[in-house]
Amino acid sequence: MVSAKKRFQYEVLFVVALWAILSPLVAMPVYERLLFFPDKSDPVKTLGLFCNDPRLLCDSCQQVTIGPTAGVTLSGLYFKLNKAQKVVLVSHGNGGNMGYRAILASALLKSGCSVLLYDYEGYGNSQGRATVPHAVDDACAAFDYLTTVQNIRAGQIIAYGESLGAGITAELSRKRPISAMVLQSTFPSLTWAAHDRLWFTWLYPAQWFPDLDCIAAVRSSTMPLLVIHGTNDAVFPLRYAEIVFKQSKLEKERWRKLAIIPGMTHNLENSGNLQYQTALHEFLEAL
Amino acid sequence: MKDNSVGSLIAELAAIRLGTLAFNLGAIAWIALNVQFGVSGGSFQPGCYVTPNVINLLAGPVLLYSCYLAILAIKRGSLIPAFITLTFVFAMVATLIRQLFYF
Repeated sequence: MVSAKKRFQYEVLFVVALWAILSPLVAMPVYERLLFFPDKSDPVKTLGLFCNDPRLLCDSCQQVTIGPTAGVTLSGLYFKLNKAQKVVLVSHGNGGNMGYRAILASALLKSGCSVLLYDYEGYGNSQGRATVPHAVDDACAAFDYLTTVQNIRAGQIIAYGESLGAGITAELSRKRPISAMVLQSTFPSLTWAAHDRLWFTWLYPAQWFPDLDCIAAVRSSTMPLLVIHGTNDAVFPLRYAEIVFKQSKLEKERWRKLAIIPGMTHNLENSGNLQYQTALHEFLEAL
Repeated sequence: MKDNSVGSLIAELAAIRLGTLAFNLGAIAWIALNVQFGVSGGSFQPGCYVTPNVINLLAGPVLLYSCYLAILAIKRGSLIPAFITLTFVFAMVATLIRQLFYF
């Protein structure tokens, strides 16, 4: 029979062991599995499943290869409008692949911009494994592709991020000279979202997590900013968008805008959403 | 005459049972604390209690009470369920403090 004191000591050991096992330093692959949901299917085939096929709205659609960077090549889709003055670099959310972003690409094309969709490592036809640092590097590689291969000036590139991609776009804005930033269904920082979703992550120092810090990026940014969030977002609350937007220190009101779209959920399900399209169009037009 | 008050019932509970009670109460309060009601009905939205609804407000004190029970359980020699309860309370307090810096 184990004495009460001995049992308590075993319990202390168990708690300490559990804390260590769940720490990001040990369990990061597990956290990454909870964060990334890649679909390895061909994005071009998926793209055709949507009624808003962006290929019908552009002058040319190229399937492009980005990189290799660090021995890994990424796949992308470049929808070109010949008269477009701006190119939107889209960093998508953590589910599926770029093929599922037909509606988003269509909405951007309707606003008169060319669009580059790309897949992070481990998504669609891209090689490699999805991790947070890799995803940020992938965004930088996609930006470099636009400036070097497509010869687009940095001042013409607008970065658009949805959900997890908003954090990646925020990090991109600190590493590359993009001209403007659109954050859809955003969050203050990855650590913040982790704390809210997995309460026990409060038990670890924030520095142990790889972070995508929208707050820091928006605070230090002087570029035009549009934050879009739906009132029916069940993944990230509207409060997240308000917090991010509040950090913006831009003086000119027309260069910073918070668009709260009634009825919109976390993902863009209908580019026909008039308020979304109007907010996007007005912002892009003003640049 | 036998004392049937909650205090005396808790005083008689063994450490493991008290820890389990604290955890069960804490878990229910944690769920209630994170329930939000929107256009599409109720949903579990962690952290929503920074702008609380009635359910969140009621759950807060219950969670604090479960924290008290958890501390009693640890004092009596049962750690694991009580510790999990304390992490709920820690997360709630930390979330509320963080909110002060951003609003």
